[in-house]
Amino acid sequence: MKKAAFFLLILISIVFTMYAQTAEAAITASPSSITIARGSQSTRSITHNIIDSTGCTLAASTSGQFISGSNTLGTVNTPVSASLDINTAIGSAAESLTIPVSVVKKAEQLRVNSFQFQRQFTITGDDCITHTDSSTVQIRVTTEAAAEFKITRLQLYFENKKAETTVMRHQPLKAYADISFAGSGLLQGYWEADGRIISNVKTHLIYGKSVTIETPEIPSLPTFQTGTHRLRFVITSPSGVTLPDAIYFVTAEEFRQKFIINLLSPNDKAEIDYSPHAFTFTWKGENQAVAYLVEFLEKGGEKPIFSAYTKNSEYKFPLSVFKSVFSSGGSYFWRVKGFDAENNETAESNTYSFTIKEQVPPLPSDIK
Amino acid sequence: MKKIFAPFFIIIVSHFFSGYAQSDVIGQNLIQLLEPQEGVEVIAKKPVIKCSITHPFSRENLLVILDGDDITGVLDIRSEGFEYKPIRVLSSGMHSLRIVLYMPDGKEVQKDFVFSTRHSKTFEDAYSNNELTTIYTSVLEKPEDVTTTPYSKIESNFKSETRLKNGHWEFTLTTNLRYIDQSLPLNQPERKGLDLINYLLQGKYSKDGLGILTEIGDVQINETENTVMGLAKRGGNVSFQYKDLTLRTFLVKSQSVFGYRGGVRGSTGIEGSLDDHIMGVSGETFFLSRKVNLKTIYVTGGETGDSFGTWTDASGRKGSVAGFVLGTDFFNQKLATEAEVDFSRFDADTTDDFSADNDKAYKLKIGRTSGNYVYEALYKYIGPDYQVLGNQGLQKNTEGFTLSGGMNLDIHSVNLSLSRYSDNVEDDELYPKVYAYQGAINYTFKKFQSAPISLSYQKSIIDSSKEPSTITPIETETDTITGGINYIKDRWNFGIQTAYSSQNDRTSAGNDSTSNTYTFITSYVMDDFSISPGFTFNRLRYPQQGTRTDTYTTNLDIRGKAMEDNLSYGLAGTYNRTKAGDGSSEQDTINTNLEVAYSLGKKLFDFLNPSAGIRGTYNKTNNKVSGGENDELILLLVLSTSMPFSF
Repeated sequence: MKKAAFFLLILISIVFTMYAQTAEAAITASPSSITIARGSQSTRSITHNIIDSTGCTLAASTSGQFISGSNTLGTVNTPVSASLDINTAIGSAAESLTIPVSVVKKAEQLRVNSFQFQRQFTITGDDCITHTDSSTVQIRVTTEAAAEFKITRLQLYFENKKAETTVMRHQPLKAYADISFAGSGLLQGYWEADGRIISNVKTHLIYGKSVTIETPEIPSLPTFQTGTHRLRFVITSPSGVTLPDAIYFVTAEEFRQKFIINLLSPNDKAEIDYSPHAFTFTWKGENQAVAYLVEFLEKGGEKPIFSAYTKNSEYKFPLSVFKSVFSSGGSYFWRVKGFDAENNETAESNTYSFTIKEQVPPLPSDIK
Repeated sequence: MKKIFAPFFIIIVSHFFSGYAQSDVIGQNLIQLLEPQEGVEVIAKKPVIKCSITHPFSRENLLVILDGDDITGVLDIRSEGFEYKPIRVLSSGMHSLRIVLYMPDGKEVQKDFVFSTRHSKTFEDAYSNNELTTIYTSVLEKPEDVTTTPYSKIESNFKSETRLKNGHWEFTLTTNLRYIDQSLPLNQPERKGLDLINYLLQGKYSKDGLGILTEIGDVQINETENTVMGLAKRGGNVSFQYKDLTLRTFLVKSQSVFGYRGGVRGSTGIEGSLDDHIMGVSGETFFLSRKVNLKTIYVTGGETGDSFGTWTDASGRKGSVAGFVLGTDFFNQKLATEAEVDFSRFDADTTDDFSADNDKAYKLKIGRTSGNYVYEALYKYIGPDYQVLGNQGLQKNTEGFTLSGGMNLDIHSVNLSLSRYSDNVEDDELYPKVYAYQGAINYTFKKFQSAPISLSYQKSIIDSSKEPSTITPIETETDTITGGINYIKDRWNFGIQTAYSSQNDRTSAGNDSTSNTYTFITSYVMDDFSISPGFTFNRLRYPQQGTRTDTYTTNLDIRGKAMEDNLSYGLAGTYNRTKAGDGSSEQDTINTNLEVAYSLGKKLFDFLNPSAGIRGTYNKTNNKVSGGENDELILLLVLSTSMPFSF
């Protein structure tokens, strides 16, 4: 009887041990499969979830491998580990998995578009038998258009095309974010200056064109506080972007906001007779302006062909100037700038165009 | 004809000579230039011009033209003549002054003078605009758990723009030099102490159609989209232009840098190997009265890791590209063409054993670019391994065309575009082929100049074909509609904008989403006060999951001056609320920055503008699901000064 009980005990122990050896652990990766784009390096956040009932307290992996059948495409030598809760027997290990271009190229050489990433975990503890198990992520390779929606590049810059600029106090400032991405999906993010949300951005990005997102006119980037300011475009979805900063410095020198001068007559695109008497240019300016500069330009010209300073809100052409500057049938542009008492340019108008009517040549019968 | 024009010609000629003789004789007696003296070179940027007129006159019968500008309206008229102080700086060189006096008998007395100016003894043209800002902040109040705000901080920035010109040479230097110190470590890339934040030194030479430009510092390079575009880096750039020929070469540091990095040599951006620099040469020439141009570009170099202001998924990369562009414009921008072919060699990961890939890109563009009607047809092909260092946002592995057109009428403006592109240009059986179709129309109604209305609609279809068994097909339709109206009247600006976009995943995954955004903005701007409140509501919906998220954002910007501009104040605040329809998340945040400053004097010692004030930050977060709530108030004493000086 004693022998029978002893053998029974040993048998139970063996069965229990075998059970423990076979059903002690389960490791799953989340996400279990990913789709990446060919031709460029990809990075994904992977979480290895470990459930172990053997009383072990630690799961550790020193490396992982990219494999396709019996072929090893590459190795990741970054260690990851997870502490297992003794009560729930659960633990998780997170890693940022980088899939190099070379791994995808090796898969292409083997003419496969799918392979696996495997990590073998060694599960240990004071009161358990050390054992191993592995976690697997299925990786599919496709073109950029068909890949998962992911940001691949984010570049911040100001109007000087750099991520750094210096502006005057109260000077209007705009910033831009160039975004490159694979796949299509909903971009969620926001502009943030010194930790304050400036504006939310929620827009669908469709593969096939690059995207530039700019800060809004209202609310504008704050420039009323002097000193250094940090700007970010925070992307909340899709994840996986390390957010770069842009820096702008606001000087104590005050920006002079230019006031608007409204051009009154002639109207934009007006047709005017070829006569100096028909040429009276009027506008409505701000009180600050003590002098105005009226500029006349030819089509496509950058430099004015004629200018005039005046203290009034109108200008009439002297006959001699009119004849030497304008020609019948010609098209011209005009604009007005305003100057304050210290000769600072403080106001400006839009640019209007006008055309001078063709002069009808006199008939021979009219010439006596 | 002879009968008509011969007497007319004689009359004109005799009138001209009689007038000239009359002007010359009488003018010498009536009109004299007192300052500057005729033919004399004066050293001044705004030389005072004084003239004596010994005949009674008024502004109405006087015309004074300086370098082609009518200055009659701003002359200081006196009984014995007039005086004029230029409003803007006169450029160095010769100046012409014409004075015309309309006599009571209808005759004109005209006299012309010339004089020349230079801005300094050494240089014809010389100016230096500088400004030094210094700010000191000290904490008056902050919670103990706030560890990112230093108790004290000093920042000083010296901004300078200097230009010197002499003869055919011209030099300009723009720079920002900054000093920072604070009681906490600084976040990268800022560093404590003195730092040369940016600089650009330019030298120009121009004479008889020859132009040479040399730049060192923070340069910007633009060639073509397929080679180099918007490359703003630190380095050097030299361009040589002679008539219709332009040659250029540049060398820049691949990584964008903030401040002075790598010592004197390293900070120029032109020292180092091509593993971390980008070098390029280009040449462009015009033929047939500039109607045909030919351009060639070659760029090579390498780059490692991220840059300041840029994050990328890529690792170390290296490559080169050669591009050839042929452009024509025989019809004055009414039918311009551009053809480009480029060959690249690019290694997307320099750490692996794989060598660089060769690939090509080409495009053909035909269009009209001026006038009220514009159109363009574009075909482009970019190979699967075509990549360039000079434009890393360039999309590769694509082929297709875009047709676009627009018309700009008096009150209507319409733009249309249609495109069809596909990837997997080499039809690799390992991968699917994805087609992208897109149509867009934008319309602007401008009948009411103070209230332009804009509408746009865009439809995009992404559809895959030839999918291998392991790849899930994709079929996505996206509709985007936007509309907006802005009413601007005097000091008021009201704007309403709405945007709707819906992405319909037509596969079994059914991963649909829609986004609705409504924005209302307004602003009221006075000389010494402005206020800009704004409100935005966004609703995101995921029909398959049956969830939605609402986001409410309210902004308020206020700034102004009081007490004869001695007191200035500003406030910028945001209230943001997000709430999930299923109650899984609900959070309110408030972020506010404010500042009140009092000017302690203006132009003290001629150039000092000190001020003292209070700066505040208030942040509050309330997570109504997790129950986490925290708020913080930080108050700082701010002493600042501005010291502008020019010479």
